[in-house]
Amino acid sequence: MKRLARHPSALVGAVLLLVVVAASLVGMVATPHDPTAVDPLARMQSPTLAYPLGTDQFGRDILSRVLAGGHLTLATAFFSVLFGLFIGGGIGCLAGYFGRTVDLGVVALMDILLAFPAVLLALGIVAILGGSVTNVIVAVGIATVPVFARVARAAVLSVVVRPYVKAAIAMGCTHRRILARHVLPNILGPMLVLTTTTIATAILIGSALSFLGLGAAPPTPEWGVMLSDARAYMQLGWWLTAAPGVALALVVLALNLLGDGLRDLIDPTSRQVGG
Amino acid sequence: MALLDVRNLATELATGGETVRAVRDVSFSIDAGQTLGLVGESGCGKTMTARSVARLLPPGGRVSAGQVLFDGVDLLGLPEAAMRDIRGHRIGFVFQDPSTSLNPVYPIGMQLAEPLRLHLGLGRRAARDRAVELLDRVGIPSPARRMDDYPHQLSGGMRQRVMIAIALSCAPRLLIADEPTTALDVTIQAQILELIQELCAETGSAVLLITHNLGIAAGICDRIAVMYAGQIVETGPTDALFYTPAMPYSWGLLDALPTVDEEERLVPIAGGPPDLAAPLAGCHFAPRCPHVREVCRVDGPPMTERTAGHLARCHATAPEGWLR
Repeated sequence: MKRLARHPSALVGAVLLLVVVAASLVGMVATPHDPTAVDPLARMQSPTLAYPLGTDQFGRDILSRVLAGGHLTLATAFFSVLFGLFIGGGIGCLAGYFGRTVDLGVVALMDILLAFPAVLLALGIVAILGGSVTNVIVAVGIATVPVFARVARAAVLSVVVRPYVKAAIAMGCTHRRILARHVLPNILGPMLVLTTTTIATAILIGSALSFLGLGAAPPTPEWGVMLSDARAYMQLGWWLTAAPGVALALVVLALNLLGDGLRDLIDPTSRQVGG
Repeated sequence: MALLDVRNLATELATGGETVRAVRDVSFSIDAGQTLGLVGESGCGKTMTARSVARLLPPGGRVSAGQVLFDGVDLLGLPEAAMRDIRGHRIGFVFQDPSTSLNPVYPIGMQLAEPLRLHLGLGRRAARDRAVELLDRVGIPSPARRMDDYPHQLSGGMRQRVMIAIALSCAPRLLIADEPTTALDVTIQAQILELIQELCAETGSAVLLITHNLGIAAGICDRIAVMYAGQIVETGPTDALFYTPAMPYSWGLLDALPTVDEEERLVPIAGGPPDLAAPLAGCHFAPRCPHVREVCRVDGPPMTERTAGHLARCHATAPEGWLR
């Protein structure tokens, strides 16, 4: 933690992410206005004191909607990436470690999955499962599985040939112990960086699904839904798309800064001596 | 009975469609507490021999014949689980490159404690205490503070000391040291060898020292086996091998050793070792041997005794040979 504070970009990322998460948590219970209340008299207002981020075409307060929608966007992305990380990472580790037939099968399957654009893959899965937030999580999760599997496999392949793995075998360690204690910690860095960037991707895929009416549906205040709603009125008010867009960009930026910083901190060889 | 008795070991490596017969009919034995040096140039099969003993062959490698009797048990027939219990516990390893043989993500203390907990069943605290003692024993200053250092914070010599501490942590019956000093400075080499010798004497461990450096082998080994092209070509007590070598290849190795006192030029052995993927007839060294005769190219010489315990694989120096 002390080291995190000394890494400027990681610190900025962490603080930014913390702010966004905190704001989203607050938004779950309290917002300045009711995020779904329609007010025909106050529609399409540019930012004012009463409506700091303006109102949309139905007169709903955009600040309230951004705050209230944050947790949905973030949680969807977070849980789907968690799903992808565990399933994909697990598959990749086993394929990379045991190799041979398992590896061939996994690589072939993942190549097939990767041949589809992630959005299309997620779209197809939601179409089969039916549109709901849970299904979006599963679908986006499955769409990220091949990415995690490939990176995990490649990382494991580069680690298992290292002499310290040979040394661990020579020490009499079991496969499980070698995987858990000698291989996994050494692939954590790339996996962590990948996780942060993939959360960003997952946010975008989730928003795309909402945009297509397959995830969170209007009038639920979700950033993706807000963006798609505002699309038709973009020429009439820049603030319609600005708020959810900036919110998305900030989260992605925060995640990337934090991920890069964490990678530096987790890798002991890039740690400064005495740091 | 010998602690380790390797009989007629043969190991093959399948690489890119070819089968390399890396180890051919190798036999040797090590008594408890004894040090055997396995000497030879790169690619002669010495590392593969050691790896075959511990069943740590790379993918594509397999032992095609022979026995490895360790304490009377054939290791080649043991189930993998029993073998795991022997590795690191009964047989310790020191590898060539200490900078990469330690896991970069763990402090050295944790890595030293691992075999103690795994094989001796020590608890966290007990293993840590023992690890500090071991670090102290291998000559690492202020060991308690060094416990939490990561491998990259130590020098190469220190890392090799840690590796030795790990290898000897469970007081193994046998230590296999594969070129333990090759990656180190000359000044550190002597210290590390001395340390291995001293600690093994303490724990009563036998040592299989693999090296390409005859000088190193001479320094600490009781017996030496010279390997060439997958075979042991001469074996005997260190003194016998140095004072009365009985195989032209050993002569060549000795001539290639730098000496301090004379301004003598080093004499290289002409030619290169044979391709182990191709079939070899006769004596493997015949193409490079200055004393070769027709019989050498046709008929591979067997290991025959010169003096007690000193065997060589050579027609020329055999009792009825032409170099007597």
